[in-house]
Amino acid sequence: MLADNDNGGNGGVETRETGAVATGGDRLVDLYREMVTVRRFEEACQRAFRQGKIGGYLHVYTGQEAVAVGFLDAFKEGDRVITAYRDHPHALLLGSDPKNVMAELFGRGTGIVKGKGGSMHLFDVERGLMGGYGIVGGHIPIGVGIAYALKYHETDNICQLYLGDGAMSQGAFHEAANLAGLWGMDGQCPCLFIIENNQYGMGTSVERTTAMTDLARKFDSYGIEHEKVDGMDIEAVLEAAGRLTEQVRETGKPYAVEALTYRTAPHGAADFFEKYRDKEEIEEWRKRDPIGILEKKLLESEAADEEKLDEIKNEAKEQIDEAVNFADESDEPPIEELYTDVYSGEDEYTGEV
Amino acid sequence: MPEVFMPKMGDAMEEGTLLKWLVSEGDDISEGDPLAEIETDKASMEIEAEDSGTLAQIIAQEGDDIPIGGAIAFIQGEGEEVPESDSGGEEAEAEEGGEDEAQAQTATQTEAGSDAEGDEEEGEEQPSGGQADGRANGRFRASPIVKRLAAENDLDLSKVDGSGPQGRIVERDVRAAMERGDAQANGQEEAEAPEAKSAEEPQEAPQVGLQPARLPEPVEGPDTQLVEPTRMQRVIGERMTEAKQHIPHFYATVEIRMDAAMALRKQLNEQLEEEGVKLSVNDFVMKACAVALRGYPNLNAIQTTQGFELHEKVNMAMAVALDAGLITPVIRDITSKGLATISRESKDLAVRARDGDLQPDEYQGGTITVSNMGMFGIESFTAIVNPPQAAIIAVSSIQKRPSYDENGEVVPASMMKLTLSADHRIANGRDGALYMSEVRRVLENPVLLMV
Amino acid sequence: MAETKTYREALREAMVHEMERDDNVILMGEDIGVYGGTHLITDGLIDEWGPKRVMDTPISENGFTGAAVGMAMMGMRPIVEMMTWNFSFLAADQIIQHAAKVRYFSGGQVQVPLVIRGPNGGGVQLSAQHTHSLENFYGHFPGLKVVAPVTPNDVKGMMLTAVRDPNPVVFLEAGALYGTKGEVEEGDNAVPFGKARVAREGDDVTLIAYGRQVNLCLRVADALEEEDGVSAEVIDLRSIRPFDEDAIVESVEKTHRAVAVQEQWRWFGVASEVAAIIQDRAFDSLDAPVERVSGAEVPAPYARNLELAAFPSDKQVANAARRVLYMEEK
Repeated sequence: MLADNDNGGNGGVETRETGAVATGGDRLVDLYREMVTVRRFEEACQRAFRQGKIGGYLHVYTGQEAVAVGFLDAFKEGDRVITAYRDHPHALLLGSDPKNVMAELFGRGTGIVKGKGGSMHLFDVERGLMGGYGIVGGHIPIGVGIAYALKYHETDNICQLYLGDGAMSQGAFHEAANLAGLWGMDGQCPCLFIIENNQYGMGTSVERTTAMTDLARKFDSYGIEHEKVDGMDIEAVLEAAGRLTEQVRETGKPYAVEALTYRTAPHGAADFFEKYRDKEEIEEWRKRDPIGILEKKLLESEAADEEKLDEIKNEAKEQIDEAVNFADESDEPPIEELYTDVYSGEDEYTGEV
Repeated sequence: MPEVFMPKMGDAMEEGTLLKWLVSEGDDISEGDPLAEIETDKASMEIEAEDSGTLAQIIAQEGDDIPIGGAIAFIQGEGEEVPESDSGGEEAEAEEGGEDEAQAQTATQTEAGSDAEGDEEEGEEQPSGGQADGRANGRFRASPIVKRLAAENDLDLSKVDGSGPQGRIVERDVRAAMERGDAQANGQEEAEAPEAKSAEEPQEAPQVGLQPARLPEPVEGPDTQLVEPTRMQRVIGERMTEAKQHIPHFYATVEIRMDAAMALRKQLNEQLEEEGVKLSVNDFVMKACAVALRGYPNLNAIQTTQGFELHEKVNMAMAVALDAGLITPVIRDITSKGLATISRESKDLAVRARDGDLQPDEYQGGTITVSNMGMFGIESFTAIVNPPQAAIIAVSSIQKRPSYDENGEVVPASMMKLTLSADHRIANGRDGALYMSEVRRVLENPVLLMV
Repeated sequence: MAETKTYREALREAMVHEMERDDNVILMGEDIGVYGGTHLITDGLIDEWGPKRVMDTPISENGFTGAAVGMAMMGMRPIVEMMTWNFSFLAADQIIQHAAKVRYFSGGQVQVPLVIRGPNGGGVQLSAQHTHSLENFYGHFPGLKVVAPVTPNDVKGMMLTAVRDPNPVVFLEAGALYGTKGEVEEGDNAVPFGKARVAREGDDVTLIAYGRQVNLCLRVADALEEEDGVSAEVIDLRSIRPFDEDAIVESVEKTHRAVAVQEQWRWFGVASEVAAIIQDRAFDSLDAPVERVSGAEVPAPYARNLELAAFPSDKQVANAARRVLYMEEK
């Protein structure tokens, strides 16, 4: 669920229906709102990056919205989510305030990790987001460990572990998947691997990085069951999400779902379309843009009309504009924060007193 | 937002060049239309419009370099006004860029400034650094603990032989020297002190020795001999140079009729012959100089870190010539001692000084010095004040000369010249003159030595 | 109350103590369970505690170290074994890029109470790839704690502290010393980090070391006393990060001379840091420059004589001490 839109209107707290995969009209409208908000946020980030307000790297989720929106719709309180660096929507969808997320990207003290992480290291542990990591594949063993701990502590929570197609070439992935499969044999690893296959690892297409391009099948080597889902179709994603999260929860066995999707923005905002895809390719996929597809569905089923859609878009725009203003006006972190959080415990502060 | 701005299209990109406009002012623009070609250091590419409207104004011209975030054009949307001071907007952007540049320039200037300051400091320090090295054989002359011990115990490291590599003085050398009492006290012989002085008085030229550039090269012929001064000679030389440079010396000479004193001396020596006491003229002179200081305390002063400190007790240092230099053993509180005591002490000190057997407290702590060259037949001479003292009295030989008595008759008289050298910072000419008059009065009326 | 135990026994005792105290403590590593551990430290523990508390892992250093990081973030307290610390390079990304840093870049939202332990250092002819001593390597990174206990009492006491520390601890055991014996205090003898140990008091020169070189220095100290009448003080650093600067400064202020000894290579090593600290804080006490005695600048060789020559010897350390005392070398 997204954070409240302070302007009121049709915002308000979203309640989450668990389990049910019904795609009732209202629910789809809510999901549409979420996707539009995420899209708007990412566009605002790109703009801010080009203006030099966001430093370092920026990895946006544009075009992949249905995957995060769909799977996080099945998030239950106490579950954990871990992903790599394309992590803005995960934070927003778990309920972090867009103001604080944008502030983090702008490097301000009001950011959700106090300005000390930036775009790639979004954490909101209270809401279940365990990061935000910059090393491709590095977070995967950690996610498997988190799932193991959830079971070790005898909860019935699961870990949603997001990874990209590029990460599946890393040794860390294979080691972690092997451990998950092994521990899953005793039902000790409630980990749902969600592969955001956007066809490209940075600038290199999947076909050019592996002979086995059926990524889900790689999990066979580790005894982990798997399936694919159309990552552009929110309803398909919702169905898979509801079913698979419950399955993992019940069995404590890991599962992998490969969501086929597409990035319409370049890898990080700092690289060039033209160099590795042609414009035609992109146009094709834009017809399959998840927001575009859902819009069509909503209009056809009369769950919403054009006016309503515009209203939702404008509300999202306002909310995100507000977030940008907040970030603009926030101060950078106080210099003492340089030395905090290096260690935990009595040695919290390591700088000069 | 009607602005079209230079986008950031690479991690390290800071500005782009507008190569070519693909639209003109007044054109209708739709979102996604290519507007212009820009070039960065990595590639050239097209910018697309992010809004629809009319291209109201082109700001950047072909060939311009624009920093990222800088406005390059305005697209006027439906119902939107072109901002009045479009130059204002541009300025705002340019200012931001300019500010950064200005800040960067200031930063560079500050750095350059502090570099220059650093150079200056280095330049100042070099003379003293050079001076310290000039005294040292090799880089490690003394280990740090040695320097500290020397400072704490007022030792003269030039008198200590180093047993470490390249003649380095190490702890055991210093400890041994301290036990033997070899190392003479001398607070200002530290390498540090001259450097400290140079920091205080940057106007001063380098303290020690002529500047190398002015000296000629040695001839090194069959009839020449290059001498290496001993450590003691070097140190004395440095201290004397320093005294001459820093102390504003003034001089006052008196000629004293020594007949009465010499008669008293003869009388006393006859009396004390059995006790083995033999008073010398110098004993009388030293006591007289000390007694006379009662009225002129500022000549019995020591220069300290916080200014001149006057002393009531007179610790009379007497110059003793050695083969390899000079040493000044001290007779402490001389005014409280009788002539016989003074005589015994001065002889004892002189003998042990020549044997190198003095303890530190026997050559440290003098408040005024007497230097007697009378035995060499010197008619008069001036001495150099021995820092940190304020005054020194040079004693010349007694010469028989015709003089006038109170009746104007010519009579023979034993005349001895005493010359005072004093530090004009603590005493002025008048003080010196009056003091010397008093010394003369005492010596010419030697009973006054008893009080 | 103290008992004589081996290093290995003391280490095991500490881990069992913590497993008893806290259900969140588990052991993970290759062959530590069914096989009993390649160094017999965990021998039999799986029978007592079961496979959930004593977990055998596949050969996947990166994978299981990363999983341990995740577990620690969730409040478990895993003790992960590196079969030898030489294999930690495979897990270095998880140790250095993740365990050490995640608290910082999460703005303090998570902590990683993880212990990674294993035999470190060489001297038993395991040749080049199995002979690293990694104190300076891991000691370099803020966010990690690094300790290298030498005595059986210290290995027990410091393991107790390590498990209780909410930060990732790189626990470098002196592999060559597993069989050595010493007095070990009963019960909870937790030894704090950041404090060196004066292994031997002396007045004339300070020998500073970590790992098995501490024992070498003690031998050298005895020899110097007997042969040269020199009284040497020996400092066992034992805590690399945090580091006990005060201990070495105090010692050098007393003795005026120092020799720093390390198994690994000179460049950018712990001994260099020791020398820098001494010249920074005890300069005016020094009678001679600080000597560093390090391993030969070669990958560790296999043949016994070559290996002995590749590491600091008693003679080298004794002569270094004589040099700073300005005495004749022998």
